[in-house]
Amino acid sequence: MNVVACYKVVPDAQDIQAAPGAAPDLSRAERVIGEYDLMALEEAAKLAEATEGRAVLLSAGSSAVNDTKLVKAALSRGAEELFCVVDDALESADAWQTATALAAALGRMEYDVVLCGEGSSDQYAQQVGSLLGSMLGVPTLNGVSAVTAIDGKLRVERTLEDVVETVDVPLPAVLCVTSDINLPRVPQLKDILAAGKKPVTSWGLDELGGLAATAVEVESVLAPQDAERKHIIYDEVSDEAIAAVASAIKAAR
Amino acid sequence: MDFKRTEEQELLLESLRTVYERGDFEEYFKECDRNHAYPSKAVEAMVEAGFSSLGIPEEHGGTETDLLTQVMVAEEAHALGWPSLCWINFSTEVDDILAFGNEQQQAQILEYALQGRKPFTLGFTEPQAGSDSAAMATTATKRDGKVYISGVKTFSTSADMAPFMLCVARSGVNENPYKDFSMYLFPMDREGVRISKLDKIGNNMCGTFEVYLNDVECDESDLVGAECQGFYQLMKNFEVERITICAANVGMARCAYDEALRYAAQREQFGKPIGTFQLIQEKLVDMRIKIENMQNMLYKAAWKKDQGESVSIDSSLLKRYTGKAAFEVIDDAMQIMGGIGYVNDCRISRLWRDQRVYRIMAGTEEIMVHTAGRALVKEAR
Amino acid sequence: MEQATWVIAEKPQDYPALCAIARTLGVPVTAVWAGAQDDCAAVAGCGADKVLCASLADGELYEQAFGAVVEAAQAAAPRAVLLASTKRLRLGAARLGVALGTKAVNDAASITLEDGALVTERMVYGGSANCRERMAEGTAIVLVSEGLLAAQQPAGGADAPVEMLPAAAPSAMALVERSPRTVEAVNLAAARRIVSVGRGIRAKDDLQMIDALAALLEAEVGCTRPLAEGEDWLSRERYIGVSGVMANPDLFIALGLSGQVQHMVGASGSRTIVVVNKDKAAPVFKYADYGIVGDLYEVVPALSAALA
Repeated sequence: MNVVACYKVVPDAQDIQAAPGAAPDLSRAERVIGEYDLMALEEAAKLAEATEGRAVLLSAGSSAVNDTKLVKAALSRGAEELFCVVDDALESADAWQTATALAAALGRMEYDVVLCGEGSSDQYAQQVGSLLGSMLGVPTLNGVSAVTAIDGKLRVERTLEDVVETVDVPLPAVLCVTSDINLPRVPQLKDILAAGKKPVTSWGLDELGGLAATAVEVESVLAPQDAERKHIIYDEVSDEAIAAVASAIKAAR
Repeated sequence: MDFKRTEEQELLLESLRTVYERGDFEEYFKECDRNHAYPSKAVEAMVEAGFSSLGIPEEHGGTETDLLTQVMVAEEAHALGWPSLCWINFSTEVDDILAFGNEQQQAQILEYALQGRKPFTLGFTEPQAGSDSAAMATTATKRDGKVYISGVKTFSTSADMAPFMLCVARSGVNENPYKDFSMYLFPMDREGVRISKLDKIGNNMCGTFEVYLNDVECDESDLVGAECQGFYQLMKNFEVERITICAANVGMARCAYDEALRYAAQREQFGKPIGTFQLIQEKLVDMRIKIENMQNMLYKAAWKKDQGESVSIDSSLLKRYTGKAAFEVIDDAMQIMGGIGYVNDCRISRLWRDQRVYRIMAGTEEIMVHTAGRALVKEAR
Repeated sequence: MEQATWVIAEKPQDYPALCAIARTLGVPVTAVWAGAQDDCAAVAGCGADKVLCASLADGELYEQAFGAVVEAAQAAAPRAVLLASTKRLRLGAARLGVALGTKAVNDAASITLEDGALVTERMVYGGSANCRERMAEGTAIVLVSEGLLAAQQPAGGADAPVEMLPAAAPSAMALVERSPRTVEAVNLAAARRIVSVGRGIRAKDDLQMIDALAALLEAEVGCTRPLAEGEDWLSRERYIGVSGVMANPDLFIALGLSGQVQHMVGASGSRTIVVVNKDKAAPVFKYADYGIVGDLYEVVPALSAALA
């Protein structure tokens, strides 16, 4: 089975500096693979192994996607090859634009199943995978918490708010996996070394129909004003501190 | 000159941090330290993540790696808080057996090393032969096609867990002791081997033992390397051992420094963080200088070894410097922490107890003056 | 284009609040129901002007019935579609988006009309920033955040006329089994008091101490992501944060957690925040109204004793 796992290169949330009311500063944030995309990468590797198939990766974004360290980081997780759409216009792409670019790339690839994460760890719109599947016109499901291949189709467990469904999905298909579907592997040195030798195919947006127009205009991205807090902090555990905080708790409840 | 880590090294260190973070080992290590127990749960996690395979040849199931990378990984593990003398990448043992062992010995030892299990305890030091290695009195006597080993070894690390001992003994054929030592590798469960645990002030997670050898029967094939070449082989062992030990020095110093720095930035006395006081700043600055120096020296020595250059002088300089500098950094970290640093709940107290022995083991810092000083003057003559 | 706002939820009880938000957009409201036909009557009295019903038979996939909604939307091209933020409707919103040529805005915390354009706000970068988006033309598709929905004064009204949608083409997917999920009955989003724990708790058994404090305060227990997904010590329903529950309690007690923005954003709307952490430099103290620098193993029993 040809399995494609998609991922997004995002600024590490821990490094994002955000002064209240100002635009967050991303310049000092290290670029990393989206936290929830790692589960898609892991599931793709497992599915390819179980079906004696092949797992490849697909990403769309700015030139950070081509960063050799990030490429190795991605390819050290079981997949055999990376395809990417690289264009700095994609740096601030929304879910629609990203999904359009991924769909165009998949038009040039072989795939039976495309796996996406639950959502990107920067936008967390949880839309790209679902948009992608609909754009490709193939069966699409989100909330996927287990996948097995049976008789040329996929049997999928889908965990929703208050039910669990088992669904048979014909191929090709797009599935968005949950953040607890698996525990992503920790790449070993041999995986990291091998990753550097795996093939990478990179397309520009101009080869794939350009940046899609979007109907949703971003007006601003600003850090919220912090709520006013009292900041009454006791530096040591003492009877006075316990009594004071206990009475504050009583007053607040 | 390039001080940047390779991408592969950076990714490997990220993997290490991920395993450490997922394991959430801090409380576990405290418990093991308190109970004098080997941290097997943490060891298993690191072995499963492949860190014991570094430097072991591929045909033995490992991943070939330069010493520099192994040293960086060991340093980082200790900087995260990994306990002293418990690291699971046995670079020294692997190097010893690859340099001198026969095929069968290599296969046996590398298999244990791959599993993250210390493959052998070193039987070098004896009660009367510490820095004066030539005073070793353990004998290897040939009788009826066998070799019988008798004597007392001391300060043997992990003699309770290691399946083998790499033992240095007099062959009794040359009067000159330097030309009379031979190395033997034998299983610790062989008849005539008895161990007795030493009660020491630190390194609680790793036992240290006296080992009594009473007519331990060996085959001729248990010989490691060449007969009567044991002393020179031992010196080669020390070169690598000193480098890998120093990785722990740098790591432990970083661990203590990081904690003291954070504390200095937040602990308020006299209405301001103690890190704003210049007496504290002086300590932090000098600690940082020592860490930078230690790290640069460590990496350069490992790099030279990887280039095939001699590191006999470098490893002595490194051992002397980092043992003492790491001790000073950790001691200053404790001073910055005040009373909190002295209680066992604070990691720095463990580092302070554990690191002290690095100034003694694998060549005291005094004997490092002897080994390096003599060689430096010889070079200048 | 139809000058109407469509509203879609998975449960009839979510319609009154959705209809109320839709009313503020100034055009007729159409409630769209994909589900058992019997429930249509419940939807009809929730404040919409009209109801469209895509009937869902037993044993059929929800996505099958939703196909009829997508086809109807493509034909009608409503001004806006507001959906409740459930997993199925996130997928549904994307399907509508592709049919209508736009993306859906997710988890909108506010929806307003400005100069004829629909303007929404949602969190990005793990809660570090708010993103304001504007949709001037075409259909605006918006998933309404749980918080906005809960805060809404529900609309109501006379029974609106119901129109049945034609069945969609059959889906290629087949439902094999559907079973109720054994979910712990906990609703942190609605809880008035929450005691949340992080990695400062060393063993699962030690949670008893947290439960005891929570019981005293009649509070719910919440947690950070590692406790729900790494350790599995608490159910995922108790995980507070950007990919978990967004809570809004009167009292939030943070115990032994560092205060990463991804967690705290799920609690930052709390009226009073109390923090206990060993590390004075932990970012969580930024959010504190009251805080004690100390080990939760010492502080929690002491607080419980003082509150008993």
